[in-house]
Amino acid sequence: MSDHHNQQPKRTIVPFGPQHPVLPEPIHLDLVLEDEKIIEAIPSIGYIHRGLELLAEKIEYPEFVSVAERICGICSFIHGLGYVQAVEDILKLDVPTRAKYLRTMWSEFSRMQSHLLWLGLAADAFGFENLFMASWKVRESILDIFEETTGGRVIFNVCQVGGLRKNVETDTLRRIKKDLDAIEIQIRNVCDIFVNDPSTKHRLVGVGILSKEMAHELGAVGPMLRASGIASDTRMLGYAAYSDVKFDIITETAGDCYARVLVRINEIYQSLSIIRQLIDKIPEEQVVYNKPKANPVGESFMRLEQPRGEVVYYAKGNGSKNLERFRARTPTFANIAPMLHVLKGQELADVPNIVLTIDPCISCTER
Amino acid sequence: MTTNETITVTTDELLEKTALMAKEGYRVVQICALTPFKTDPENPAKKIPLPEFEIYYSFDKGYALTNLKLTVPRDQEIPSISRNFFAAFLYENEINEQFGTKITNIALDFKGTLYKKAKKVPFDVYSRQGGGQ
Repeated sequence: MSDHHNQQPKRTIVPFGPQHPVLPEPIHLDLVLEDEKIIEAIPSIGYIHRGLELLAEKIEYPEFVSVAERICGICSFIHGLGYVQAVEDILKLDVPTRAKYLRTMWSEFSRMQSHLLWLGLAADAFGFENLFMASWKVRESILDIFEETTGGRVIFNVCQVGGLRKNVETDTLRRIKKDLDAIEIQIRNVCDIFVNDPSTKHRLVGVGILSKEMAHELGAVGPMLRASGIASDTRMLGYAAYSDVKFDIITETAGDCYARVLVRINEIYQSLSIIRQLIDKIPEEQVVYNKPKANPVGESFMRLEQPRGEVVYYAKGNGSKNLERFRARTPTFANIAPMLHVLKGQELADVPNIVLTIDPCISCTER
Repeated sequence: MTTNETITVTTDELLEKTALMAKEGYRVVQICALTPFKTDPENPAKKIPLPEFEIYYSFDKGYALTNLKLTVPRDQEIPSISRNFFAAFLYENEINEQFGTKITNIALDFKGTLYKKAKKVPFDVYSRQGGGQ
């Protein structure tokens, strides 16, 4: 046999990111290629690391919720919620039931707007511009509800340790529930295209498969995990008012990019159902805040379900006004290892779709 | 609500314990390092960092959270658990770069290059102060 046949295939390293059309935020991947096939993907981060966890040592704990919300502009509400729940857990502080219901409602609106934002980005990644615009148009309706009920569209500052900064009138909630009918129709129009259009399926079905076993072994979370057939959803822990509403864990079994789309779409419909149940059941209370009576002493691990999956907060207080340590393990951080695994063996042209279907949030990841 | 259990382990027990947990089907949830403090007796508002790290390894099984708590001197090497839980490699690299821990034998070791920053790792201000002493 000639030397030519004994030669190893030539390997090329292609840098992907930090600036790339499909990446709304910067992350860098070194893609090691043989021809068009990916042999290895090596990540590096740090372009938007802000050291927010360290700020907990410098900012008084009641005010730090504003920083926690700024971990990310998409998951902001739930970051704030996770932080206050961790501190309330240390303080053994009861929160008024109405506040818990409103927190849960805003969490589900956050899930809806995040999934709609992601659907738009995904459509843009596989070249479906109209679908991108349609998804984001519907998302605006959710942001309008946020603005009306909290005063903010991105950062809300409505959560505080002990409850909420403001209440929402029951009449307003009832009207929002009616408005959801029209919003649901718009969502169904958009999502039906995602589910049924042949061009969408062509780019997503059978691409980037993550098996059930690997999803567990690599610590995948959220839709990435559930699309591989594992029924795990931190909302089942029953935090806030989740124990008062009925919902099932949405799963798919294919583990490919298309399955991850289906999980997120079905979670949007599920969020609508949860919000309607909450508005029907919300107790009439004027008080939505119990003032903390001491500084936190002790530690707490708090787990919540972000749109991207399980998020974990660790808070440690030593009796002073500042926490000794605050830590946020975000879902994208947990999904990087599974993403690297999925990329191996895939074609270079499929990288944007695969990277997007973990719904990467780099601001969260870097904090 | 969350079921939490915290078990204190030593560096000698860490690998054995995590190998057993991997076999039993646990999932790694997070790894978190922190610098413990003591209060300055002359100035209670002042915190003095202790020359050690506390590291929490969190695992999930059926929504129950199990934390392994490891306390080690700052200059002591810590064995990586990434041979038992591959997903741990990213957390361990991050902790090495943020806190200056010496976690060794990581399955995918970035050797201080995970964070692409001009600032040299570790970022931890207390490491730069020589353990705060």
